[in-house]
Amino acid sequence: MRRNRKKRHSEEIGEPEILPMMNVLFMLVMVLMGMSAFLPLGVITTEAPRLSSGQAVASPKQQGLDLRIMLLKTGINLSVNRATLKGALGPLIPKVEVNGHQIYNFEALQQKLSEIKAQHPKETNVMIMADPDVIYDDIVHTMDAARQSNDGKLLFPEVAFIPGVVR
Amino acid sequence: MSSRYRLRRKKGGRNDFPLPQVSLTSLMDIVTNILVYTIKIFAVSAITVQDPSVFLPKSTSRQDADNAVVVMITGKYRREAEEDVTELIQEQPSIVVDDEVVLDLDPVSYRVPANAKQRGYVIKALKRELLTIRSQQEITAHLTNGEIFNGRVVIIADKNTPYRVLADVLVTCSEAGFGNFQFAIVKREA
Repeated sequence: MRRNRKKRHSEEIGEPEILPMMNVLFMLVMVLMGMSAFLPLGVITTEAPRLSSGQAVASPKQQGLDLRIMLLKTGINLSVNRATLKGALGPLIPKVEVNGHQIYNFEALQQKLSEIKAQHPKETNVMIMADPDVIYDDIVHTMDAARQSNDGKLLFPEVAFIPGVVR
Repeated sequence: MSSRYRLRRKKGGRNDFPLPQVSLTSLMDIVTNILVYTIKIFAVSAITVQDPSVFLPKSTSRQDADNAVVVMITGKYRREAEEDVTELIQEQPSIVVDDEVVLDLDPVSYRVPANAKQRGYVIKALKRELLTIRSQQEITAHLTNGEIFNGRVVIIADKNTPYRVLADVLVTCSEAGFGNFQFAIVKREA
């Protein structure tokens, strides 16, 4: 008697059919997977470039240090208060050879910028100038090196660009 | 041995057992979780890069992109995968604004053609396109009382783009009023 009652109860309600819903969800997952690139994309925010050939119009904020990073074909020079810090026989930070390729020494750049930051702790601005043939990848690595030191200390996160010829 | 089992054995042996129903509930949970995760990734990333000729540089920046006009500089080569081998095939580099090609670059020298520029840096076609977008954004903001024009632009450039092209694009963007740059990168650990 009790069994009959149970049977009747289960016949009345019935289990929901979830197979079509599964199909829809699978299709949604596939579509979304197809649409997204699955790369952890981010951005680096910077200011507009100053249109000049090296003589940047300094805003009041930038009158302090006027720090510039100059990416040359052979290495990196730094300029502080319009005075270029050059090496004895070439750029301040020459390129280094890794696996037969000449690459910029961003660790040395970061070290130099850390030293400058220690002397000017309130300064946050830096301007980047580059040789026309310098590639975007190197510009991004320069911005990374200028943003923070290896131990996570903030260096010069506010970057601006100066188009023009670099010497 | 239970009486029910014996009864089944009499009727036709072991093969006549009714197949147990597959429980889809756990599978449903897994699929729902995957779906939520995928939607979350999709919602977080305001930009997607699907052009096979754009290889983004890697950076330690943790900042996420905002919704903005996208100016893309495509590369000289595109990836083409054939039977587990990825080939690089020569491609026409160009400047693209919101999925529309604005200007083709010189494929050999990888630079903006001189006749496409004014005052040394400003790319005429790009400036025209950006000014159109700017006026549309300003009209939309005025009509909907929405966010005022903020001059934000996302620059998606191939990692081998030379600085001369990048500088031209940046100067043109700022000439058109888009002076708040966001450079798209692939996040990597510091």
